[in-house]
Amino acid sequence: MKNSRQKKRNYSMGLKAVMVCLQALCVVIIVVCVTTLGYWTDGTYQLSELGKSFEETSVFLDDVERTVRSKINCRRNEALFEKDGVEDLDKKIDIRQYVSGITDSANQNENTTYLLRDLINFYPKTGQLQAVVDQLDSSDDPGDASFENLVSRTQGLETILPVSGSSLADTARVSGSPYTKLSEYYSSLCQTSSDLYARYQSYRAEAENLHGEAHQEAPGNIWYFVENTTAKTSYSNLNAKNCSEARSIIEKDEEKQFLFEGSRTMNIMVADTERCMNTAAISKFIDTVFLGANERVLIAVTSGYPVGDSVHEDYVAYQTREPITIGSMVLGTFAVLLLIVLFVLSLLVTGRPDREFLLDENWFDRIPLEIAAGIALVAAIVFYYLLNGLNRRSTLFPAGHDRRYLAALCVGEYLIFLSLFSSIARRRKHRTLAVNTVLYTLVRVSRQVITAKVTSRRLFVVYTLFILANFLFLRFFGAAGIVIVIVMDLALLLYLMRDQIGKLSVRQGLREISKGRLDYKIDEHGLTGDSLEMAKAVNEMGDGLQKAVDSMVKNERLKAELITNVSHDLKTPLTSVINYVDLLKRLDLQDIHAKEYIEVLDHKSQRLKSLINDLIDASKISSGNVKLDMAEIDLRSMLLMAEGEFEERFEDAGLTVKLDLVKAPARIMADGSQLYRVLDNLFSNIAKYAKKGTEVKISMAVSDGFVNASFANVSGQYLEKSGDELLERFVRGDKARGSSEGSGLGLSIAKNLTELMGGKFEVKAEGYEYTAWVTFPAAGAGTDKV
Amino acid sequence: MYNILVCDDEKEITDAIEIYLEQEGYRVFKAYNGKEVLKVMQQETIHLLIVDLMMPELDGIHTIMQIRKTSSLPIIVLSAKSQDADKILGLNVGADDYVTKPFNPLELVARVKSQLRRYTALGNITEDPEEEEGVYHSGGLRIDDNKKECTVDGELIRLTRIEYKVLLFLLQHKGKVFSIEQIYQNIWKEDAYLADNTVTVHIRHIREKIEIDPKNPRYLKVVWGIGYKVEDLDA
Repeated sequence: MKNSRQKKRNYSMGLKAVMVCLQALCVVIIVVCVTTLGYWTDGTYQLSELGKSFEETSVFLDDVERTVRSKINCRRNEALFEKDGVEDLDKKIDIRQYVSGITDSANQNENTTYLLRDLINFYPKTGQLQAVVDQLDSSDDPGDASFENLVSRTQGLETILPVSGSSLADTARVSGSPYTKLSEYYSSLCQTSSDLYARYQSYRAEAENLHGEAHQEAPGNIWYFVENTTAKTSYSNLNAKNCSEARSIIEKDEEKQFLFEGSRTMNIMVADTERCMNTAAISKFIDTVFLGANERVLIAVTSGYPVGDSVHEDYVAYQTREPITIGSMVLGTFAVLLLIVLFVLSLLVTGRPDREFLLDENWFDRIPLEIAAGIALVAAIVFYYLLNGLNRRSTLFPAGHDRRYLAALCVGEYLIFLSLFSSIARRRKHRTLAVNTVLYTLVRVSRQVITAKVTSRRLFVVYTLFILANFLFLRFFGAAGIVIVIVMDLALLLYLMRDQIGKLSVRQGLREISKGRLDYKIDEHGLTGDSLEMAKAVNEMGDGLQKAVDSMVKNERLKAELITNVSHDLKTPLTSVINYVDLLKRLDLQDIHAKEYIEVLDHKSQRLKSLINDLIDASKISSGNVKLDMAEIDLRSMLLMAEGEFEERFEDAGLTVKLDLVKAPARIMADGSQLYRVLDNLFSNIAKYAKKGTEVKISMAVSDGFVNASFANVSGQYLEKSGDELLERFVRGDKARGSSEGSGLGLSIAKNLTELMGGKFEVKAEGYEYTAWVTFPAAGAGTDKV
Repeated sequence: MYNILVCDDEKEITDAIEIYLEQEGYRVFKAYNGKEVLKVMQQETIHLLIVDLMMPELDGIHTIMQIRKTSSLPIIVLSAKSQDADKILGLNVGADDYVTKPFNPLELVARVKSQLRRYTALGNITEDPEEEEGVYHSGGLRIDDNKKECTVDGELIRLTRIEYKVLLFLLQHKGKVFSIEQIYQNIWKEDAYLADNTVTVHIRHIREKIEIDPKNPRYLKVVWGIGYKVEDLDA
């Protein structure tokens, strides 16, 4: 029963291996999931955008804004560089107006107004001019000297002239603060020129793209209407004149849907929330300025983004990547939870004894904890550097080959981590956590050195002197010294060997005494020093033990004798009682009750007799005070003979006996007559307590060098006591004591006798089932025939 | 008419034994210690002595040793001491039988009868040399195979045919132990390994017929775990 409980706690190596593999798998899954998530968040998307619709992502909104802005820019470039649909670079641009974002052709200052063509062509010079302007220090004295210095440094760089024909330097010279003015003019000129150049380039590229095609907007997924409410300029790819017309177009078309509509006054954009697809769009376009301070913006999209532009590509990518990412997040979370559970389980499972009841311990557990932790730390550092190398080579969240590499590294790191913690768990279970540490060992050794200071100091001094003497003789006495050293060392060897022999004999003595030979004496002759002292102590210990055992045996014997003597004293009056009861029975008594009373007396006096006899037997046997005449006997014959003795009693008790014996004699070593007492007690018990009309089964088995006989019967009463309890003295199976014959000593006597003869006596009682077993080691060849 | 001396320091026990023996027609003398026994023995012709071991003045063992110097009358020890060692001591100093207290009165009477028969009647038989063909005996047990008769202490015992054969076989080889199988082979003339109790039950029946106390047999001994034998009491 104990066994099965023990077994439940065992976990096979296989299970443990499976758990480790599962954990490694979890780590791999986590790595894959985290890198997938990392890929998601790697610059493009936010984690918070997971699970949202495509229209709510910043990528989409950026796409829309970029599209709208680039289209507006195109329109504006066309407005700047074209006149009636034809390229026209003869327009006049006031550079000071241009940099402050004003287009007011009526108030142009001729001194700062250039032809568009000149400004575009001036672009290659802007680098040099800008460099000069950049070098100017604002803290410079804005006096004439500085101005002249600036003019001389920009000599020949101002290659284009404004419409007025006077150079910027000349214009500045006549103004109030020439130095400040000129640096501002040059700065504006450079800025305007480079900006216009860039815009012209993009205009040219656009124009070439549309070369030969009608000047018609290419169809896209984004629809917009942006209008500047003050300048009354508007841009749109919808065929509409104003905002309300654009709105009605979108509302009519079922494929289109509003993304955003709102209007801005100065810096405050108010979104028309009825026509906004989502809050992300509101916050995005509220902060986005397309045309300037006062504008009205309307943006719509075609559902499903059918046109193959960048929005379409982003949409398709999002549709595939988003579920994968969500999936990996869920899977990753699951893997993390599973990993935690498995980790805790491994810690619980590890260190339990396996089936062979060996502690599950490996070399790693035997090395001191600090060293183990150090090994794990070094491994962790190595892995950390490998991981770092990986990071430098590619992004934080690599894919493909690098991902595999990363997963392998993480698994390795995890296994080290797991090993360390499992080891700690095992140490805790085996109670070696604190003990198996370098610190503890140091403390223990130093404590030993301190407590054993006398011996060890003496040894230390002698050892040092010896080494010193060796050295001195070798160093200063030449050849003679070598001879002396050899003699000295041989003497030491002899001494050590003698010491060792002494120790061996002491050890031999201890071993003998521990085996039970308490009278063993170590020969003290020839022993010296510590060995002699130890030998004396061991001999005294043996004597002490012998005395203790002797007095115990004596006490036990005295007890048995006391019981025997008292019993003898009881027997004499009992003899009279029995005899006179018998005599009374023979009398012709008139009283009708007399016979009944005499019956009671007769029965009880007989019972008293058997109780006294059993008491004597039990006390003798339990004190081991029985002479055994051991011989090789045949248990099979024994059972047959004993059963023959009891045949009639069994019949009288209404029992049928079923003999199931082995075919050949089964030899055991026992005292035949004592073994008969065992069987006699057993059979008496059966005859007394077995249920009438039931079967008594006596069977035999020979196996594994043991001969076993079993006696099974059905009890007449429900047995409330267990088998072991029934074997104790004075216990009987039925609860109401004294109701039946017998002393309750029978089984105890049988058990003690069997064990004295080297056998085993067991009883099992379960409800009405009652079985006794007698087992002996098979003697000699075992089953040779007579 | 035999004279029997009963000695026990418990008066009630001697009284009770007196009643039983007188019912059987014996004349009973009583004593309460060893010295009294010796005194009575000098005064009267005593045919059998029943004596306790633990007594004041002179104990049973010494009493028996004293008596055995001059007399060979049957002595039955009656003692509370039930250990084997006590029995052996008692029998060794010269007692003929040993009965433990508390005793069964009927058994005691049976033993008294048996001892008396042997002392008187059988005493003569053992004296004449046993040359007769077909007659086997051991102590008081005797089988005359010519007459197919079995007697114990001169009393005829009724045995069944099988019982007679078994007892005769064992008596013919007295002192030798036979296993159940050997007995079976010799009596039933069949070579069989038995798994039943035929032989053992027969043996018990024989014991119940020829022994006073079948549990402590005098003639047909049980050697537990080995077999049975008829004790050679003539050796």
